[in-house]
Amino acid sequence: MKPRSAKRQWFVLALGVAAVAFGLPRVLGPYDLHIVTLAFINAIMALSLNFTLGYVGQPNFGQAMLFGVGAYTSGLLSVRLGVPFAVSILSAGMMGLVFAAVFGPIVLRLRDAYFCMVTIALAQTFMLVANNLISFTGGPMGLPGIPFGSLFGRPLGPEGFFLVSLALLLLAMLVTYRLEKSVVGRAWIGMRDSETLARSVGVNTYLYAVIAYIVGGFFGGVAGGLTAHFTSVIDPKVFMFEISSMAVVGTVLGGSGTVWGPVVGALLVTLLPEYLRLAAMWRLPIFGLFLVIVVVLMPRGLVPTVVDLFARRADRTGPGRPTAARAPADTVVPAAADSASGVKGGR
Amino acid sequence: MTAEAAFLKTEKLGVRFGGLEAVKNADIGLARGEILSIIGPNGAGKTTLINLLTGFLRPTTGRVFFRGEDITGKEPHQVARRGIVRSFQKNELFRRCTAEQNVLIGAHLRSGGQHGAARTLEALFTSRGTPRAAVEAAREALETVGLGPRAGWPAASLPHGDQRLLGIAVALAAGPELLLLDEPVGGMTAAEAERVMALMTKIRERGITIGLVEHNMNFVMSVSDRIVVLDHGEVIAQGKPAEIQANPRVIEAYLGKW
Amino acid sequence: MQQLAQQLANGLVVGGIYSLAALGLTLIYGIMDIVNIAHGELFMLGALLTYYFTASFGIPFIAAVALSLVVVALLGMVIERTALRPIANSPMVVTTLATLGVSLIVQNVTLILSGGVPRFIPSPFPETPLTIGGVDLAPARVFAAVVAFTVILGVHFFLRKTKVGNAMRAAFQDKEASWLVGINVKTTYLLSYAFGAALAALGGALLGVVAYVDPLMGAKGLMKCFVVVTIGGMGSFVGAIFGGLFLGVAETLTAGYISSLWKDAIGFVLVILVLLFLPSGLFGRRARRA
Repeated sequence: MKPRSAKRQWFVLALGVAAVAFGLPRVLGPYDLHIVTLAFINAIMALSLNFTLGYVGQPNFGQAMLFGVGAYTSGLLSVRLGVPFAVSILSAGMMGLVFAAVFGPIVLRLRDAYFCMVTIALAQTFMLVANNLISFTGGPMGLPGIPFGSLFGRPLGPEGFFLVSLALLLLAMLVTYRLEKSVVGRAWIGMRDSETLARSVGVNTYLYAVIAYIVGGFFGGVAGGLTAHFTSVIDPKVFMFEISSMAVVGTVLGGSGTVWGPVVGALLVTLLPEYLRLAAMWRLPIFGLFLVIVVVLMPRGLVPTVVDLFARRADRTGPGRPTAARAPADTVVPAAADSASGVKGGR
Repeated sequence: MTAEAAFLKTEKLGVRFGGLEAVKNADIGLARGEILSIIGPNGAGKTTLINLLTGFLRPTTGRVFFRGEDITGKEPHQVARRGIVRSFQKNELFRRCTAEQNVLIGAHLRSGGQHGAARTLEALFTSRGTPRAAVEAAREALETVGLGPRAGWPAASLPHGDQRLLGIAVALAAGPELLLLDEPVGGMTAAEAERVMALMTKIRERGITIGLVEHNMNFVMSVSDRIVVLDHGEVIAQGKPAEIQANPRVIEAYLGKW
Repeated sequence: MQQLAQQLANGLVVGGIYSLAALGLTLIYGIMDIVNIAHGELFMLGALLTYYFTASFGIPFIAAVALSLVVVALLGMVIERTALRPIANSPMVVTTLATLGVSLIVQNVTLILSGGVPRFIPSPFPETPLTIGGVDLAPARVFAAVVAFTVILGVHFFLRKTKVGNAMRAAFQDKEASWLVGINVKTTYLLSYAFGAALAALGGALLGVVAYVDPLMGAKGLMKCFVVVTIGGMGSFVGAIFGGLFLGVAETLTAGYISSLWKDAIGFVLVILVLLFLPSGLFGRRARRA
């Protein structure tokens, strides 16, 4: 539709990424770099949840299950088997995918209330199991001594881990973007607005919901694996409801069902408390408050609302044209004001 | 029933909810290329019938055949894949999307390979965009119902009549051979209904068979080739419009409801 | 055999408490279409407030329980009015997110203010167990069971015989029709939420006196309620009761005959089994299926 402008947007994006990747580590002190890396990992987690919560529109409040699976996979593989970092992370993602593929078909037979409860209950069950299978998982004491990791033969420093996390975050965003504007993403969005109508035009909604869950499982696992190496010790608390709920808060705050929304939301959720020097214990209730406020006043989340504000200012196409709806296919680069271009031409 | 009428055929189709038989013993036939209307007093089971035909409801008795294939009990998406697409009385739409996006989702079946998993991998690893066929089908569907100029409008902001048209467009975009419309002119003004009448002809000219449920008798009598009358879940008459109008049982079924 | 009867009795006591709390959850869901994630925290508040009223203010036990119910009911009204009513017509994901937010607020503010240590409610009941039908039960447990079952019965009559109760049942069946016949749906929602909250709080208070006030009992209570309504069926009165009793007995038997480590797991195992074979639970409204 607007090739030149689109190319320009990608170019600007690439510049921004390069600036962040190479500039930030120079500018930030070690503590801040640590927090930003954590923020990136949380963003991956938020994006993993986004497929089911944001696109398909079902209340997945148990993503910690996949996160924990990834964390334990990485932990066990590197501590017990000395597996190298790259393999560990990949395995974490794959195990997340496998578990999602096993449990997804079961839990996605349900919708709404039942689905919500089952995802929560599953994560809790995993926590219980991790707590009790002491010989395998180390029980409540957990698994200490997970190495920070090394890549290409050299140990990863904080900057290295920062770059790896950024790279994986970009991957998650890319996957989200590509799926969003494909027939899969459209099927998801259709299901979210009206599952009945989607089924009537041939969408196998069960299958597509499972696909969303599985893709989310992969990235949830990756987030868990990264966390295992980053924090060097994990315990059954990786399955905690708080992990799921923080991911949910981040996704919803930033804007579920978009590419940038969960990223911005997760960054806010991780960085804001640090910046405001909030005591850790106030983090949760304040985010609970944010969640309620966002849900009531700004249901689409931060990113789409802000984008819309700018789009409305730029939109001068005469009277009688109603405000553009949230366009599912072009929220990647926020500057795109032409929301009628939901159809990107094919070959 | 002639071989022609075997395009869509039901045999003793019925569904029971607890003690209530919402539809019983329905033997209905639809010939290719015709426009068949299903009418009946309120609560006669018309929408239930559509739900049964399209897999939204599983029958407790009887069978449904489409082009000779037994499609009884298939899921809605499987029925759609075989060429039967329906619209909804409640006017389901993808409300947060624009009209254009609505029909594009409607064109789901034309948007790529067969299986969802394959399409996911394709979306991730290849650079094939949306197939032109899908984009074309979507656009064409919108043009056919006359909503071309409003493609960029969010579905929720469309006036009521246009929303119903959009519902039909979404169904059309799926490329059906048989289109089942549930109250297509519900809540429309006479002028809007006139336009839908013309639309029916246009659709039929494209080779699509139409089955519709309606209360608007004027509409029904004008567009239908044949009519089926339901009362209390049973078929009480089938035939050409003139025959139905003169049928005493039909008259009684309607008048008796006052 | 003696031991079995003993286990069953204990299981029924705990089950009664579960039923009570789950009843609140299922009513809120049935009437308002909301998965009340804050339910666990309301449960916890019932216990915690009872503790404070008895231990810190010296209020007599029964009055303390009653007072904590009132406080939680009022809190429920505040929650409904501020967080839930504005989004009443949103899809279910949205309202569930709101209750999640509320639960985060309530849980953590309480943790901060109360210090998160386990507490024992000063029990007005004697320690020596009563022997009923060959089974030993602590008076506190007997009290809890009696209260739980009486209240459940009371709720049944309330729903059927009072005007407010009937309004709730109507809203449960069909919101639009209720509105059409003149039922004030907004007020009904407000009262329903408060009512559900009070039931949760009562369950918590009873558990608090039977066991102890655990700062994390909110999350645990929520899980128990979830298990109960999944087994019994979301939105079903009978389901909540049956599910609660069933879970209570199952847990006690598991702890007694297998191991107390797996006591909490049995609930989840049951959930998975139910979901595999009977997704709407034993008595539930048909679960919306894929």
